[in-house]
Amino acid sequence: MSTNASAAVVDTAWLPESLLGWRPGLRLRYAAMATVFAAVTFTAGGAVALRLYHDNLVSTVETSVHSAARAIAAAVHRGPLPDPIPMPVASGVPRVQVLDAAGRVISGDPASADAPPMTRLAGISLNTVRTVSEPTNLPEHHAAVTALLTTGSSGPLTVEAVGSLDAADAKTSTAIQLSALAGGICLAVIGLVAWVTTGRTLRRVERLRSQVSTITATEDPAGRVPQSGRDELARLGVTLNQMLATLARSAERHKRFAADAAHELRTPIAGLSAAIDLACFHPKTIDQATWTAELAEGHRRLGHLVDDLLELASLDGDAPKLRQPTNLAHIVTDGTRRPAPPGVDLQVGTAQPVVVLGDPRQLARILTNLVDNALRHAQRTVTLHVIGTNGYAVLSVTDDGPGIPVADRQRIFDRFVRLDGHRARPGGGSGLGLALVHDMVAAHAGTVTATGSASGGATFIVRLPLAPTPTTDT
Amino acid sequence: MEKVRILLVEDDELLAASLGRSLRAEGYAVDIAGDGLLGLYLAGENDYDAVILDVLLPGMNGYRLCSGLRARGQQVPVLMLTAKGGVYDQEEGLDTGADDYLVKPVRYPVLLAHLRALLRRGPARLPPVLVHGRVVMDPGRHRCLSGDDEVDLTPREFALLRYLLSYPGVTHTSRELLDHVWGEHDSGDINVVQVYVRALRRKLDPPGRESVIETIRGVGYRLADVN
Repeated sequence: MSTNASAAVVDTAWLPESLLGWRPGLRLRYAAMATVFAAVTFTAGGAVALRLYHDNLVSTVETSVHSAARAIAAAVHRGPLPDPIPMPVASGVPRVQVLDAAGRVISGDPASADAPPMTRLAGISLNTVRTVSEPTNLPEHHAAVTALLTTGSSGPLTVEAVGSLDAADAKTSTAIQLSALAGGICLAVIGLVAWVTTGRTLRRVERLRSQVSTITATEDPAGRVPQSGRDELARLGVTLNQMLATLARSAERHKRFAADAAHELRTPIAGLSAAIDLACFHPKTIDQATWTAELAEGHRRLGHLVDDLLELASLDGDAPKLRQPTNLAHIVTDGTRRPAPPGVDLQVGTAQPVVVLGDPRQLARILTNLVDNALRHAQRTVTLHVIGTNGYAVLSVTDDGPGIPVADRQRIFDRFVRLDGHRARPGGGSGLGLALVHDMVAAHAGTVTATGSASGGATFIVRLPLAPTPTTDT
Repeated sequence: MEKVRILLVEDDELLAASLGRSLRAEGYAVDIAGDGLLGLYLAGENDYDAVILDVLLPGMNGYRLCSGLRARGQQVPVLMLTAKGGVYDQEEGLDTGADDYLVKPVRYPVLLAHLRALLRRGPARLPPVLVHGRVVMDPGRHRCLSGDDEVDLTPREFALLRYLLSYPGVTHTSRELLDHVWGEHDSGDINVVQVYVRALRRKLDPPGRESVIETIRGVGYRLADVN
């Protein structure tokens, strides 16, 4: 035979797995919590109230017992002892006996005058009332008794009075039963109300959940949960919809970017493959040197494009990992040590030594891309300025080219945007240069804008926050 | 014999140069345009036997160039050669009037074969948008206009009108219309043709004007002549 404990352990084996891992749902938990809380409150409150009620009943009896005893004692002391004693209070409650020094009953109320002594009250203090339970020589289960010593005409006498508490106990007992019944009903109602209201609330939560789950399953970018009302759940719905919209926009952006990237990668590959096919099918028509140079140029552009794509992917919203004080004047000086196309002059105007926190490689790349872009469009000059003002480092790159139409000045920072005519220029960029600038500047908590220059060309202005402490440059 | 003349509109220099040289080596006369506006201009100036057209072009994109050609009534065969390989890109390309669509990068022999097939077929018989008098039908967008009013046609009405618009001036018997519009499996009561012609007239003809669809007694139906 196994013990109970080990039997319990063995017995769980037949329970289904789902029941073993069962955790009550929110609905059951809330309903149970409300019920238990109410039950504790009711029980404590009820216990105190019933106790007070009972004490009050007992004290009434005690008072009547005591006053009866005193009235009798006074009467006995004043004159001859009547027998039976006329009761000053309602007959029967309390009962009174007068005993002589030998303990014999010499008088009492009409019901008790001829009865044997009601009680031996030895040991109780005179002038006090006490309650006794299950007294041996009284019919009551619970009684208040008192004894007073007095002197009569024939010597010392004891006046004893007894009041029954059974009626008080019975009343209290009934009150307990009624309270328990009422409390039970209240608890049931509270539990039910909690169950129903949580159920209603949770049904709306569940509806939201299943709607979102459907949207998740179908991957419907236009999927939204219905919005109604103004309560917390309605606000949750609004927030969910905002999240879905943001995700849909982001997914759409990624999709478009992937399609654009595919297109942009296919174009140079198509060029290379056409060049290779030319060499395969019409080898006599090509000049080895020219053909190789063309192939190398196509290869170089493809390489650049892939580099830019990887750079963009690695950036994607992240702040630069490296944040070291970097002097933009040095970046500008380095950035202008490069070959410019014939006829175009790359010059530095103001170059204040302003220091920003960031990744020097990315900062250099920002400048390189802007200069690349400017050199592609400049007629004769590209001018760089770096100044510090109002807590910002301002880097500007100005060309004297055809300028950028106002409508395109925002769009030009999008990925793969080439304004009309740009691609016809030799050495057209990957279409990612300015997008990279935009993302890198944003990663450095700065802004980049395109405006017009005095000469009718374009000016790109990069604003970056200065390094917090003005450090002397290294 | 005169050379077959081809216009190549392509802004990628390496592709344009290489493909141009390859095609010349095949014996074609090739003109190259590096942007859309130049392409449209050249196509208007010269009589080309085929156009090879990129889509993303500076100046004017390939779709607009193609519909520009068709709007001018030029039915020169157009082969779109583009890196845009999406379903809707191809659909749009062909619906704007291109005769063939190839996604870059394409192997040279395949491109040549498509070009040869295009040249065998010659200019398209029908433009992408069918126009007859005040009736304008764009099958690609499944739209039909009578004058400036959009006409809401059932698929069968649409098919019947498209068939009629495809053969202006030709008289069709009811049996022929039943066979071509309803098809073999669905050709039942020949009177259904009359019912549909009546429905088309009700939707297309302004009150008090002559009908777009003429009844030729004892023969069948044809599009009314446009004055």
